[in-house]
Amino acid sequence: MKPEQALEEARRRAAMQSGDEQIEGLTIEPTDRVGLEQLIEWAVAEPDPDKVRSTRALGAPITAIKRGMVHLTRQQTGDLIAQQARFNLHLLTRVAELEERIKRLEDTR
Amino acid sequence: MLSGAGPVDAVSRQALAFRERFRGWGWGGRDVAAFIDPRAKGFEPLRALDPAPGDRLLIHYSAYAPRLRGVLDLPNRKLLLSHNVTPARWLWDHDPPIALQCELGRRQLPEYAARCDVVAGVSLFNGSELGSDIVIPPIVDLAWVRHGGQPPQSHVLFVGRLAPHKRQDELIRAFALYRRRHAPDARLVLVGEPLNDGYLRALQELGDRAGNVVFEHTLNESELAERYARASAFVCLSEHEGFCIPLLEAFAAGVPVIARPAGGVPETAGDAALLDEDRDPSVTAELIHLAAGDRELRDELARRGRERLEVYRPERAAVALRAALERLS
Repeated sequence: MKPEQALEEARRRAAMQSGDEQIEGLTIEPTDRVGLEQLIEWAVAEPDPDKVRSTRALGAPITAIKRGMVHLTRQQTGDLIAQQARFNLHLLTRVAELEERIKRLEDTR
Repeated sequence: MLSGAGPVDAVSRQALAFRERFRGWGWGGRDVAAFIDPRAKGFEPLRALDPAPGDRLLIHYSAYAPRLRGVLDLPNRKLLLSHNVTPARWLWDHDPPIALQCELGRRQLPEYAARCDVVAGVSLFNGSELGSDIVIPPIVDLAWVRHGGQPPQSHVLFVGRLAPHKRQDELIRAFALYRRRHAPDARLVLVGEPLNDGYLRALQELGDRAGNVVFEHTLNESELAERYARASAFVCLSEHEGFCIPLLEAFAAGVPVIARPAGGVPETAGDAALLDEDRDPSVTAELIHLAAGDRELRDELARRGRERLEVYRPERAAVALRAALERLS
């Protein structure tokens, strides 16, 4: 078979197959237009402590020290995250209100 | 200049390959990076950059590089080489910090390009995003790749970072169908550094459902050569590639290539790959079956792959590199 014929042949053969179920699990969708629900979910940052690590050779003790420091500074970072989340959520509430107001105005025109 | 230098990434390898050519031409200079992974060798910190008035600067652009901004103010003539930046839309859900870097990197790229004297891409796809038709293809040494011939068992291979835009998820689903319909003993080998641990776990779970899916990374050249030599098909369903060097590696190994025609892939592959423009895992599964089993198809793709490698011979790429740099004179 010539390479130019392969795709058409694959389509023909695929069309003859039936009852193939796709496996479930991870699905990927690109994020183009982020909805308000998604923004609200993102508004509260939840950093994963497992992502704190070292890529150096013999980095295990460095990773342990870094994670220890994260633990020791959790009051400070927790406060920082809370303040940022407060701002994010209030801002999103305002955006939602404005969207609703615009919609109402457009409907009454 | 690089924004970041790593041990295995394509951009750092290119910078080192360029350096070898510069040495061969009797040119001096140094390679600097704003961030250097401790495992990367051959790079100096950005602060080591101290160009003389007549020196020319080459900026490898592949990521958000705020620390390189100061370089733009230098009076030296500059060439920006775009390796492309992954669109953030693929990454927001899976790695927000990297998505942010990509978003900022793509926004910053036109500004950097506008402030450089010459702009080029590693492919026409990359260059044309910035309004340039100057191409400096990668200088790729493929001497380490071994020709495998027809492998006894069906091994499907993809080499590329385990990241959402590379679409290993779709490949796993297509492979599951291929295995169920045609080759229960088939194996899918995915070679690549994971984006992060969480993403790797999610892919591994999907792989467990498909069965016979192997994840590997940080292979040396000999190990990678062995994976290519055993492969009966190389499948790339990536949604975004600036160039895609693994296609050349597969051609060098004589492995039939199936690829989604996205980004720079059609340009790199030419007529030497089966371009899978459908988004149907069932069709991809049948293409894998054809590529693995049809002798005439395999031989023809191998022949065309060899021709493609002629286009991307390192000597030709070096000529393009030198010509682009001489435009700065």
